[in-house]
Amino acid sequence: MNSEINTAPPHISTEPESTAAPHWAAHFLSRVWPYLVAISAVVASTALSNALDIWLSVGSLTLIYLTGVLIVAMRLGLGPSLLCGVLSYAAYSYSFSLPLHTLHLASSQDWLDLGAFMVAAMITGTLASQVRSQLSVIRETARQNHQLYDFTRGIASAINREKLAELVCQHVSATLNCNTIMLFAGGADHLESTASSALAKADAHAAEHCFTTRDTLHAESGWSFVPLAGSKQTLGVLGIKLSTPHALSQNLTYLLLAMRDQAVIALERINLAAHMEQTQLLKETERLREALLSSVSHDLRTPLASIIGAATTLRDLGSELRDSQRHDLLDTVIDESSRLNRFVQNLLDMTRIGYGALKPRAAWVDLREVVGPAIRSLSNAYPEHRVTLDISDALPQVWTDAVLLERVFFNLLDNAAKYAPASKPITLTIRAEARQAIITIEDHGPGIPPAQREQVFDMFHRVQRGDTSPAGTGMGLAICRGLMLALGGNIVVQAGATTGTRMILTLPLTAAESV
Amino acid sequence: MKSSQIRILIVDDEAQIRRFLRIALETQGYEVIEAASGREGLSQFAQHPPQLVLLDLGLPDLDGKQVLKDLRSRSNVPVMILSVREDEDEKVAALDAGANDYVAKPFGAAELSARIRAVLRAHNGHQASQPVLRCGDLTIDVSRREVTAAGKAVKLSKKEFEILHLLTHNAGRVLTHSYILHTLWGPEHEHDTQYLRVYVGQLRAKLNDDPAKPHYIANEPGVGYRMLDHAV
Repeated sequence: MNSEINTAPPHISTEPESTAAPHWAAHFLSRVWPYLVAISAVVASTALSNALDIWLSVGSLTLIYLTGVLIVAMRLGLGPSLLCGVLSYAAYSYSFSLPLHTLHLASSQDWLDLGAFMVAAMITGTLASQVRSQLSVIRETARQNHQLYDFTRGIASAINREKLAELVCQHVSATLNCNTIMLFAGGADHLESTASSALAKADAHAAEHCFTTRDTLHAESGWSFVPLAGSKQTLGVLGIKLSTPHALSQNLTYLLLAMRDQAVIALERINLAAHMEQTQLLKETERLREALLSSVSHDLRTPLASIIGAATTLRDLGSELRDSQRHDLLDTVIDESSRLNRFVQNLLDMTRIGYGALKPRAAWVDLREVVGPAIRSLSNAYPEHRVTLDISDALPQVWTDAVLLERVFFNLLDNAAKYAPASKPITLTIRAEARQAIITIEDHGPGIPPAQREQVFDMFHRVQRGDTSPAGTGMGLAICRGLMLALGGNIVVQAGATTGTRMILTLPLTAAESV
Repeated sequence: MKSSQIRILIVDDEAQIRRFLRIALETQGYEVIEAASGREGLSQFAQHPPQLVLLDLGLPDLDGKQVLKDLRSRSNVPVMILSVREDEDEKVAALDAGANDYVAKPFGAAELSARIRAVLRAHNGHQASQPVLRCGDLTIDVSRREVTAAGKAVKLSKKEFEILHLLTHNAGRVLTHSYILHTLWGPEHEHDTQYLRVYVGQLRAKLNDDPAKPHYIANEPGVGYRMLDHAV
């Protein structure tokens, strides 16, 4: 179990929902109700017998009372049916059997009648109550199966441990009418922060004990803990505390264990998924690191190869070289050294952007004064390329970091010169809008395919191309994006007017607070 | 050796590398033609067939290994790989794909010149199969299977002789483990590097060659062996 994946508290508990109506009143009513119904049945039988008296013989009227007793016995069980039998006989003998208006058992016929009522009431009552209790067991089992099914389905959708714990606690609490708590393993030998859970200290200790021994444990406070035993190790502990002091029935104990087992399966699935995700992430990071390393080493080595090559040629063949060749080789050494220097600067910038350590030092800046040095650096690196400037006269000063901005300008001009032919000029325009300055740098190079126009600002895009592109290129765009964002602006790429690339930079004019 | 007729094709996308290579090679009497991409290299090769190709692996249009494959499909011209990729697997892959040597960037001008000469000599020697090979103070009489090192006769087993012959025949060139195994033991033993190591160890002992400071057989870790070329 890796605690780094989820930092949320590892325990979740729920309490059963309390019923709104007063408990004892409902209880009393449910007890008395069948007897009231039995009395009503006798009243109804008497009323019916009175109505039918003129058509039926007195003996036949007993059948009406008997029917009432049977119905009561079937629906309400033995107690009410016996009451119904006694009362039915009393009502019959008082109202219909001679002498009228007495309860005297005069003849053997009367005794027989009473006996018949009682036997009928007893037999049907007993049978009916058996059937009813069987039925309620079947209903209960069906309800539990349904709940278990709901539970299994519910937890199958849980995507993390917290969600799983919530679902498990909800279901177990609702099914067993208890308090439920789920605690996760924090390592091989202890639970994750039981101290911060809702448990008392002794109960937390009991939970720990249950976890280490892997045995079900009943604490004195009423909490019971069952271990969540996975296929390899114990994954945690499930605790319940019943609202009533009774022990769980056999049936409910099985149900609890079934839910526990389902929870364990779900938990193992979640742990496995998290583990796989982390492995995948590690692999991805490793791959990126390797690609970055090889890309950086390529970018550093390529200029070094030219420098070492030119310098060793000068040393080993110096006397045989013509002056112009010697000059060319020295140029190579100088050009490649400054390329290396620029690359190291880029690496530094990139690292600072990556760590968020880049702190712009803003001041009021005239953008024309930033453009100048960038163009001078470019003509040092690419003497043949020309830059056409088109800068609006009504350009206000901008609150920004001139050093970082110059680096962006140079990187973009450098890219343009690298890819575009020297025969056509690079155009740099600056316009002011209401809230922002818009700087455009456009070349007549091969352009960037639409699908890659956002990707080129991605560090990884450069990395993926490996050594197939000129050394030190591409990283510049990722850096430009990083610098522009740090300055409160942005940079996007569009297709140029002809074939080339149009880089569009925006800088806020009034957002001094953003820098 | 007169090298004035020898034409070398440089295929590298870095202009600065091509510039210093051209100066260094032209000063040594080679004729130099250049290409900045794989396709340009292949078309240059077709138009002005060179006697040696210096090939960068990281090219903007085609992978260098693809260019090598294309070259090999039409010619057995010596090809030297120049690359910043220093991975041993890359080297082995390039050598097994038919490259004659592999020079890691950055490199010095003198080292490159020596390697170029060795590759050219091995290639020319290869074409005219000589009865007696000489490499520094090592002499191999192929027909009589006799070897003398520093004037003393050395008795070698059949396999030891074959290894020495193969390495000397390609003196100055690195031969990969799998190439040697494939050539002398057959394709099924291509990966039995340990096997080869044992034989080379025995061979070195008989030649009195110190592996730490080799005079004859140099080890290229993770890649193969190279017979040091003393005929510079």
